[in-house]
Amino acid sequence: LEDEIFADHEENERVDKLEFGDKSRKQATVMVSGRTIFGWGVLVLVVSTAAAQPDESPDGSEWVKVYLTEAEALEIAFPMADTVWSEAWTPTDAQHRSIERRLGWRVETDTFTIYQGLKDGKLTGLALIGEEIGLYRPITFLVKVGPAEKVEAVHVMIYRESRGGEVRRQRFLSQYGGKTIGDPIRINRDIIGVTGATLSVRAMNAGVKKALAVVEAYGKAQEKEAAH
Amino acid sequence: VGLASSAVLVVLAISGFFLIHPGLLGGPMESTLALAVNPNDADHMLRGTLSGLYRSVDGGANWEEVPMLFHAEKVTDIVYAPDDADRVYVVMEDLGLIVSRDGGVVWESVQLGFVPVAEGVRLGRLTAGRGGRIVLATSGGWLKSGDGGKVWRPLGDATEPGRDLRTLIHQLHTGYFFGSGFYVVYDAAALGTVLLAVTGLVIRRRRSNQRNSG
Repeated sequence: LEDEIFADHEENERVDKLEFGDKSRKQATVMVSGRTIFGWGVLVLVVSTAAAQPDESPDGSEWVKVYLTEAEALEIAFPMADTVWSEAWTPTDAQHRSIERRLGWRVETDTFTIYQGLKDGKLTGLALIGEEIGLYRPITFLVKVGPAEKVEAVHVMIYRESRGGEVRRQRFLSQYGGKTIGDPIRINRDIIGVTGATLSVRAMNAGVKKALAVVEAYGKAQEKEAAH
Repeated sequence: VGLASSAVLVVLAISGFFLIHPGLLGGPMESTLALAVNPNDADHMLRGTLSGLYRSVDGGANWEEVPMLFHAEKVTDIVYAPDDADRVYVVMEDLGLIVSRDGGVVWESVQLGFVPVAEGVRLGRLTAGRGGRIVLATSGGWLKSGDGGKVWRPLGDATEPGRDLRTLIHQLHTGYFFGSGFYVVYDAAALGTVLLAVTGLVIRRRRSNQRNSG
């Protein structure tokens, strides 16, 4: 096909020269360029179609981008902390139901890993690493919640799809700053979406809200435990 | 060409803005796309709209949005199971099917085996029978499940989801038809259109200036 296009290109040039003569050489060159571009366009379409492999997800492993490892994300989340430790917290059935009712959504996870940053023995915040499905594949992210149960930072750690990766940018993620469990955390309410990444934004919204609900339930459980 | 392209872009931007903010267009409330009354309590109702799912506990006099982690959008049907009024299904055109097993407090996704919005498949109406039997109408044909949505099978001469004409057009539109990375070509084409519009305006202005100075 490529040979045909080039042959066609040469033929066109020859015909154009005959038709337009030297006076119209410039105009003829413009027409030839247009045809060449069209030819290349057709070639690109044909090659791309042949290369297309229908799949459950159109994206392969080449789209998996690790932006932050767990250690890097925790270091960014707790820059001032002298100690960061994690606790695997398993809520009771009643606490689990409370989280679900708060979210209005079924929560499959039984145990949550909660990271705590301490500075001179004082709590600087909690963080959760979560995963939510974007279009086909999960987005891994970290949500840091301050002692007042407000979001302090959100970082995308791993993004696995070709489209929608804009949600990793702080320009978008900074919108979550200061959000509490009482906020809608919803596109077109208090979160400005990203064009072409609606499902990724929904996933991030859900992940942040879920982290806040878990932190709230965890805080209540800790208070109850301390009271006893 | 530059002026025409600019005009089209301006119209697209303005109309897109109003589509995202329908409240600016006026109207007392969003139109109801789906409505269902709890068979055990006529005062309890659910209403689906373009932007969400709402409930009323006083026969429809007052409505409040049903809070849920993944909020509902473009609700096309709401169905209470005939043998268990606590089990209620909500169909969303693009985002899939969700179910609540406690009368609408806690919701969860029902896996269909495909992502409607990604495949260009639109979900329509749903009917529920006894014992978890449900049938879902989609733009790609009908799907049925005998176990509350765990396993789905096509019903009749259904087009396999993702293989109908609209899906083809959707994939052509997004660029996925040609391959996973082809959207870059589409983005380049869009950028080219913008450049064409801008350069067209610049050339027109230059010519106008030349004529005026001449």
